[in-house]
Amino acid sequence: MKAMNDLVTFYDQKINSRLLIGTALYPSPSIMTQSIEASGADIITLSLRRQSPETQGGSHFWQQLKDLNKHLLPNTAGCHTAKEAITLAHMSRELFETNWVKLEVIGDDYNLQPDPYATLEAAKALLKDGFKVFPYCTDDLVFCQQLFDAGCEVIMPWGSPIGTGKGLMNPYALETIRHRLPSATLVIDAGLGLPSHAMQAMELGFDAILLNTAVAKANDPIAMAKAFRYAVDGGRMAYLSGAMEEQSRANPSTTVLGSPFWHQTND
Amino acid sequence: MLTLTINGQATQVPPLNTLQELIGHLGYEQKKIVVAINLNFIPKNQYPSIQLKDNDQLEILSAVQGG
Repeated sequence: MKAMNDLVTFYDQKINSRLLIGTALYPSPSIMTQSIEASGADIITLSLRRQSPETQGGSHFWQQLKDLNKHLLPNTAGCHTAKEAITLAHMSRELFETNWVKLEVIGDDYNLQPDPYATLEAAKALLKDGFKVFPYCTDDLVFCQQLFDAGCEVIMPWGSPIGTGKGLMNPYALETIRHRLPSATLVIDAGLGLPSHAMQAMELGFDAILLNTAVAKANDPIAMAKAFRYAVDGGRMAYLSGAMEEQSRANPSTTVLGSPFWHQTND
Repeated sequence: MLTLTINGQATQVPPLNTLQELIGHLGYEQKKIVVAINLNFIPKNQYPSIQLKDNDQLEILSAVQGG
């Protein structure tokens, strides 16, 4: 089903799957692993948190990461200032041995909306420090443009707030970002709840989507991961195929030439 | 005794010379952890040379699932 050689670029890496997936909220570690495999994702997100020595530094999770053998995209979830995010990014780089970072700087805890000023400040500092920054942002065009101009080759606007499952709240804004930033790698980062939301994002020309809750909180996460995988592939193929122009008037698809029961009228 | 805040909790530890010694004292040696002091990242190779001070705030973090 997937088009051959239709790879997506994240900085200097060519990646096969256009679905990025989180590792949180699954009913069990085994279901997490199976869901990630079912999604076909090549990139998984993860984080850093306080741990006591008894947890063995998350050694079970490390073993799972090793077994999965995916590209790691650590996030800065929970940070509220540029300084916090910058520090956490440096900690992630040492632990996960990657210069990729999913930059999140939250400005409001009610809807987990990113702080545009702090996000931009952190992005600039991290790019200067050699990071490949994947910034989580809103669908504000100017915010996205400024991140891109700062050197973020990947831009990740939300579809709607994290974990809401509301889908694409503002398709017009997202379409405009696609139009105005043709060379950016655009990823819908948050708010998707259904495979149809993912498909819509891909049909709009987004390069990829990033998911977590929609899969992890489904009754059957493994099957839902597969459903999202098909939706992403289908949406991408639709985008590449070029959709018909929308019309305001009905047009019969069966030819009217030779229609039965047709009578010439004088009106 | 030295008073430190470790992962948000005020903690008294014996006088220790370096961050490396504290890591051992707390049982984090050989664990996959990363450390920040007073919101500044400390690379692992600096642990032996970092001197701890009263009221330092430490974050000792490790990998977890995330979205």
